[in-house]
Amino acid sequence: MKRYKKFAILLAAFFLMLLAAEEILLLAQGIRNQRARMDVRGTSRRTARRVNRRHDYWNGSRGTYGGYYAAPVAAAAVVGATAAAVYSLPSGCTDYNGYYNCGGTYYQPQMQGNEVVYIQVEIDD
Amino acid sequence: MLSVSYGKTETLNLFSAKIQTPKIDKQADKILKQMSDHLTAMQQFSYKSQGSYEVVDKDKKKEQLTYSSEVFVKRPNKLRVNAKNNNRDAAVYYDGKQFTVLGKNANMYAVAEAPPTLDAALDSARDRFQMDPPGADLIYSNPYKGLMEEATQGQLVGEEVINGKASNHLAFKSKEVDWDIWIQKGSSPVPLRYKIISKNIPARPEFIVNFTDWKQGTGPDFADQQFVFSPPANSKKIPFMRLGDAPTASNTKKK
Repeated sequence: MKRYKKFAILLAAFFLMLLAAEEILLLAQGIRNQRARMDVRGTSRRTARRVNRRHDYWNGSRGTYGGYYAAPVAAAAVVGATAAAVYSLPSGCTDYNGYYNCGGTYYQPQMQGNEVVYIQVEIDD
Repeated sequence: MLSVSYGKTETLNLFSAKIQTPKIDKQADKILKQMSDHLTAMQQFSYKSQGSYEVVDKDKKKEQLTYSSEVFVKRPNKLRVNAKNNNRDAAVYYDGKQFTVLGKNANMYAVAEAPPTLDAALDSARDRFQMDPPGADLIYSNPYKGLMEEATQGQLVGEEVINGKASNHLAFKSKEVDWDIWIQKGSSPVPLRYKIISKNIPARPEFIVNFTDWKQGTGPDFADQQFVFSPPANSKKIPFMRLGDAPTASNTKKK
C-alpha cells in the first residue's frame, strides 16, 4: 500500500513538473517577445507547434525589422541572434558567387515570408 | 503529505479547466459550419482579398500596412497566390510536391519540398518559414475545425451589408485573439470579411480582410500546370530564411 502511495506521489510530482516547465518556457518567450517586433495575427488558429507564440506575416513587415530573429522555436535557440538585414542593396554591388559584394560588405539574399531580404554575411578571405 | 495532496488537487483543477465547454451560440455555430461545408465542397475556387494589418514596433506604435491578393485553390493539393503590397509583388506556388515563393521585383525565388496536401503544406509553411498567410484559416480543407479549435465564445451579432451583400456577422473569442467573420447570406455562404484582433499584444493590433470575387474554379486557370512553378528568365534561386537563421558559421562563405 505504501509503495502505491509513493508511486502516486512521484507521478503527481512528474506532472506538476511538466506544467511548470511549460510555464517557464512561455514566460521566457514573453520576455523575448517584448524585444521583438510584434505583428497582428492573420489567422485565428495557432500553429501546430505548442510553443509558437508569434507569427511573421505572409507579407513580411517593412521598416520594423530590428535585425532580431524573433523566430518562435525554443527560446534558447534564438535569443541573442542579431544580424544586419536590409530590404534593398545599395547601388554598385557586384555579384559574387550568389552573394553580393557591396564595397567589401557581403550580403546573401534570402526569402523571408514572401519578401526578399539581404542578410549580411562574413566572408573569409 | 499535505502539500502533496494540494498538488494533486491543483493538477486536477487545471485539467478540469481545460475541458470546460466553450460558450458558442448555436446559430453562430451553424452559420460558421455552413460556410465551412460550402468552402469544402467548392473543391476548386478563386477569390480576391484586400487586407490591412497593423504592426506594432517596440515603442508600441502602430503602423498600418495594406495588401491585395488573388488566390487560386485546387483541393486537395494545389495553391497559387499573387500578392501585392505597396512596393512588393510576390507569387506563391504549391503543386503538391514543392512550395515556391517568387519575389517578382527582385526576380528571385525560393523553393522547398512540401507535404502532399494543402493542409499540411500550410502548416509546414508556418512552422518552417514563418509564413502565416492572412486568412489562411479559410482555405484549409475543413475551415470550421481550425477556426473553432481555440474558440471559447461565439455569437451571432446580426445582419450587416458588406460591399452591397447581405451577410451574417459572427463574433468569436479565444485565448489569444478575438475574431469576427461576415458570411454571405443565401445559397452561397462565402466569407465576405474577416477581422482578427491580437488582444494579448500591446496596442491590440488588428487585421482585417475583405473577400470579393468568389468563383467556382473552372477552365485553364485551374489546369494542374498552372500551379507548377517555372523560373522566369534570369531569375535567381535563393534560400528561405529559416527559423533561427543567423549569419553564423553555417552561412559564412569561404573563398
